[in-house]
Amino acid sequence: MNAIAIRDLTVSKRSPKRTKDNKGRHPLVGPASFAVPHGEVIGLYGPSGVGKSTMLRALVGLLPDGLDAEGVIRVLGVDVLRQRPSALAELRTRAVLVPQIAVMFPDGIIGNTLFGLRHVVRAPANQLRKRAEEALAEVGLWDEVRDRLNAPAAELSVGQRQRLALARALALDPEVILLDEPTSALDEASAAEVEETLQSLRGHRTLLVVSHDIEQLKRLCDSLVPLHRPTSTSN
Amino acid sequence: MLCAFLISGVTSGPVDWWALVTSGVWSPQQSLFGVLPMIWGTAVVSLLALAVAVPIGWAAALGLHELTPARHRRTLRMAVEMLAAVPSIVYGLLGVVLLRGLMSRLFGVTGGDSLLAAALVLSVMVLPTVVSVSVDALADVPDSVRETGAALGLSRVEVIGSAVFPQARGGMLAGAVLGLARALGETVAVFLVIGRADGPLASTVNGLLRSILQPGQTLTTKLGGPEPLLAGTSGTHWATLCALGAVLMCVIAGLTLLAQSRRLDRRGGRTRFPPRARRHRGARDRLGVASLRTALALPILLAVGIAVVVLERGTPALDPGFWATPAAGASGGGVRDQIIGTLLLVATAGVMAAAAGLTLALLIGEYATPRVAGWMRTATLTLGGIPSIVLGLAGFWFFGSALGWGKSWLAGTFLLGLVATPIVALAVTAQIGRLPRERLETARALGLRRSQVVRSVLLPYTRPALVTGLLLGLARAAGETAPLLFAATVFSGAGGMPAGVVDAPVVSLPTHVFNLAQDAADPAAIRAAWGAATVLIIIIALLLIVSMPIRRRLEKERV
Amino acid sequence: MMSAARITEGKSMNQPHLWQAGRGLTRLAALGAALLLCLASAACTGKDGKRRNVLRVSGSTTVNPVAADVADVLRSQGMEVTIDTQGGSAGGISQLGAGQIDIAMSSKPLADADRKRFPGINLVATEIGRDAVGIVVRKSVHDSGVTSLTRTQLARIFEGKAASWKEFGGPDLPVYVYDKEPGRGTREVLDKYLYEEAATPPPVQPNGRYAIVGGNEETRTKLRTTEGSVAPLSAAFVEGSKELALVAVDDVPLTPQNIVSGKYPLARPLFLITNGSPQGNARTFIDRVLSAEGQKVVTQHGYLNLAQLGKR
Repeated sequence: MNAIAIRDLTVSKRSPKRTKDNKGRHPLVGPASFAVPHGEVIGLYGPSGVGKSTMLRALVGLLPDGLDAEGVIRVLGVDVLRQRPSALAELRTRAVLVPQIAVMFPDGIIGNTLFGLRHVVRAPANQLRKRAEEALAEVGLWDEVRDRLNAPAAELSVGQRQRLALARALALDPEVILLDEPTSALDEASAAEVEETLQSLRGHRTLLVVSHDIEQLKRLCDSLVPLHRPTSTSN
Repeated sequence: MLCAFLISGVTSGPVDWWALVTSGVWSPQQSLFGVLPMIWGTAVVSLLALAVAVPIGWAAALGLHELTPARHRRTLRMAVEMLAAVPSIVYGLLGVVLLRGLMSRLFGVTGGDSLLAAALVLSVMVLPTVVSVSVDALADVPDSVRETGAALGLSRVEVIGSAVFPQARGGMLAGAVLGLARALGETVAVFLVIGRADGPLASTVNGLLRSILQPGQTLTTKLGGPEPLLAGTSGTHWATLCALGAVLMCVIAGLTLLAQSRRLDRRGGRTRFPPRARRHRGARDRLGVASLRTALALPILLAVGIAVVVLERGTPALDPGFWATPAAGASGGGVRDQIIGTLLLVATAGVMAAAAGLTLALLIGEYATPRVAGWMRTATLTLGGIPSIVLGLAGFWFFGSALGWGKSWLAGTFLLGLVATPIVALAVTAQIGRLPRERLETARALGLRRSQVVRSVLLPYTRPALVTGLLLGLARAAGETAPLLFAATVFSGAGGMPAGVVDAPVVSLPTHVFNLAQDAADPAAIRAAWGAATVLIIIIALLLIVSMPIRRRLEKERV
Repeated sequence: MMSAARITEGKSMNQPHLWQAGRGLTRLAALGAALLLCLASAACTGKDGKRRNVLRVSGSTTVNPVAADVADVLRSQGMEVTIDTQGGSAGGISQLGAGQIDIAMSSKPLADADRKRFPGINLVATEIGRDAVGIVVRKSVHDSGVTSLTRTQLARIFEGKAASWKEFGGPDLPVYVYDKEPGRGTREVLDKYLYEEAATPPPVQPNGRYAIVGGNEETRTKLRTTEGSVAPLSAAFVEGSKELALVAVDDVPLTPQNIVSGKYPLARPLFLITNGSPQGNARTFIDRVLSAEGQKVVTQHGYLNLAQLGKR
């Protein structure tokens, strides 16, 4: 059984100009087909601009305004393109996307780690907090922040923020984690930290990692999926 | 000029400030000047209006920016902003014709004149301000915030509530504060439906509550009534009226500055009341989204409704003869002279606002030291927040009495120019702020003198903003009624084109509608009123439509 | 404005268009500033020079219809006349006192207080006809028994002390008072009748059925749209409103005979007031009102003219 299965997925942009063959659409991604088995770490690579990040967003129904996906996407058995918004929100608690830029909310470090958790999981506050602290430990951030859990998260370094973003995803205990260019915004040292954290996650969860750095993917992943430029129909 | 007016006004006679704010009886004949009933009226009317407009406006803004696909947003936003383009006199007319009857049927308010009626009219007028400013605040929240929230499994309303709203809160509060400023300063629309009763303030809580369904008075309607004319331009009565204007102006200026300052933006270090996971998240989400969409539908339906009502009743305006013939008698004929008068006032005010606004913006953006520039910016914002009735009284005193012009179109030009100037100045200042610094530095590096830099870099860059600001400012000025009543227009007998300056009043569309609206039970008068109102709306709509492509272009440039 | 309009003509909005439009506008702005300064200085210096020959009339909305018609005729003969009604009778007298207008229209006699307020001004009132302040109620109230009210009853009503028309022999319907705003001739005539000279009306009780109105048109509009309402209103403005009816005052009905004879207590002369005896255009205007045609206009609007009063 695959955690993610994709068949003939294309993502296209609505364009104001309508021609006979493009029906007012401009293809951005695909068509692509691949599968991610449970428990594996798969890397998605391709030249920049090929739509890797867009693909990743399509998987959990987070395509930006104006983009449409066609084909079949099944994530954890859910048919993503035929779900209503509230069901997709539910799916996203089990298959979490970690965007390239780690956005910190105007809240403390612990507050940011709890951010998804406290909306999604009905449990007493101290239990939630314990889960968040464990997640911080899992990404190796606990020792660095334990004495300033309520300090604004904005004070963290970029590498620390990236790991916090990973921690708040892990706190949800998801079956699948989708990582978008996890180290591209980081300096070398921070990138190494994050990569180390990712290494430690291997075997526990299904990971789909997008990167333009094929060497990094080779180090991290069980297998790689190439993504090609769309076979354009518009001239 | 304004300061001179208020200072000389307030000091022209003894004002018993203590009695002013503690006494509930207003009776100039007996030299009793208690403003409590008016303060009560103003507070009730504005706060009730806010209580209606802020929840709906915020929800509509969220529905518009967070739940509507980008390609539909512009259209929907335009529909909401149409409510802001409708001049206040038209709201007054709608109030007189429709709301009074509705009030008496729904709430059993005999006659319909009441604080509640005024509050409802105001809430509709304030709504677009709240929505627009809030949407701008939402647009400033980066999409990555929404995405991060949604990627962590939050539902749509949870993303809005926990990720987006906390970051837009400052801007949305500013929208509410600006709405309050607008509500406090409105005169004409309130004037026609509030009943203008001074009556002493009720002394029991029950009585106070009941007074909401009863006629009352606000500070602005007091100033808009006949008393400034009866008071002469000195003595206690006049001084007291000026004091009311001064207090009103200070409160509104304070609110405007508060909304513009970053003070509302201050964020707490951490969420004080952390959200909790709820049961039935899916159902809650659907319910929340549905109610936000309903809130968005409300102002849009209102805008469409108003358009339908005005067009349906404004049929005289479709007849070219109505545009081309002069008025005859009290309510016959067309509105030729009123159109010419309004266009004359708007055009000359435009010239003045362009000159003054550009100068002000260049001073703020380029010439002044940061300290002075900050001070001038504050002054510009304050000017923009001055209630138009206070402008009218200042004009009446300054041009009519102090300069001895009598009623004069040029006074109207100055006052409408003052209405439009801050809008122009702020638009141009904002554009100067967007100018890439390298351009200035390159020009300076080439050895250009400051005046040359301004001419060859700054001016070309700010021109689109100048045009846009001017058109928006004039659209606002064209609908103003209160400043003209006291200083520039007469009931009849003036043409559209005056022959001189002194004692040369004109007639204008807004004041024409104001006069006719008072005769609303007369079919001929009300027909003419709707016709004139429609013509006015068409003129304002043209100004806005012309400004739109420029605005759109500017928005594109910014991306 | 022209340059701004030009922008929309081209479908494609390209930069050069905008710049050109803006450049024109900036120049226009500079030009405008200069022009305004010139005009302003011209106006300031011209102030002491000769006044423009405009006849400025302002005041009572009761006198306004007559004045407006006469002004229309004179305008067609080339005279410039402006008419305004802001502030009513007292507003007109105030503005005349301040030298802002040439003729004040008044629907109340000049009081000593008026003369005292403007010691430097010689207020001269010319009577042009007579009107009566009617006590106007809704037809339904009138038909169910309220046909006459006494002075004490009227005082109760206009002080806001009357709760129901039942007190006055009418239906059990709340009394809703529309009082005229201060300075209106109608109000002063009523106050003078209710409280004699000098005395000022006591403050109104806040019972929530009391609102203020301005001109005659507004008064009529609000009366027509409010159940159980009552207001003082020029009798001429009641004609043609089938919802409204006049009540007798102290059993004296409002009839032309009773106005002429002076039996009806709320009759009032209509005046045109000038500073000193009328000169120039003001003279022409007032003469026109007093002429046979002018006096016909007075009756057309529902007032009694001087001939009917036996003053001709």
